[in-house]
Amino acid sequence: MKNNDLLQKLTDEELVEKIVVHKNTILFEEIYDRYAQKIYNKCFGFVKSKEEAKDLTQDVFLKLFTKLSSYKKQAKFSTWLYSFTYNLCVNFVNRNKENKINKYSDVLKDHDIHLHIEVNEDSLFQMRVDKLQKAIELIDPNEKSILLLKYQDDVSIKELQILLNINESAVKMRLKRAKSRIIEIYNSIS
Amino acid sequence: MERENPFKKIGIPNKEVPKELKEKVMSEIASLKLVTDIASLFTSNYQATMASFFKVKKKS
Repeated sequence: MKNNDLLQKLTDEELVEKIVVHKNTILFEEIYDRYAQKIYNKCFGFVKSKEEAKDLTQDVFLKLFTKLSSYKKQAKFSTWLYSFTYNLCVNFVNRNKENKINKYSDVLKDHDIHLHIEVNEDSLFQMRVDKLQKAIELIDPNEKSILLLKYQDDVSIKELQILLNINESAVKMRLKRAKSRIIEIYNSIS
Repeated sequence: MERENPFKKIGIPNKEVPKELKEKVMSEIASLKLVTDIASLFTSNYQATMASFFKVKKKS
């Protein structure tokens, strides 16, 4: 059997374990091949240009190589990697002070009191994709991350607890706020 | 009827990863590994060194 076939047979978790022990760049290349498309597109969702998405993706993989040992198998590797990616994306967006997302979010924060409306999943799933796409570009990046983890990557509340290092009620509160905000922004788009 | 989750359709169609990115990433990682390998040649495991320094040998 060829080496490539052997590599492809390894689960993500097995691969990561070997990379951590041997620091083998060929094994890491397999991780790149498995996730480059996903990570690049996730990064693209947080930035405005192809160049920025490329830089951010490169940053994710470089930091991933050095931080792989911090993956403790408490969640699926893919889930951990998506959360890791969103963290870097949020940092990237927050560094850019001139960004319109932050300006818009600051305005929204002033209306915090009005945003504690209970939003059920049915009303979330009624949203039109094109309008939701615009709304998600305008929401605070931290709230965007938690919404994408929950509703795009199907991360459970339990896994979110581990990834965000907060308790169950804090996860639910953050989700509730994020859902309220996305609905608020969605409704404000004509 | 169950509604479709619109979050799953955000960012679709997926954008293609630029071909040159892989080479760039892997070359950066190779350099990073080289630097850490070289650095490890000049550093010691301080914890182990200090532990062995203070360790009292048992009398046989």
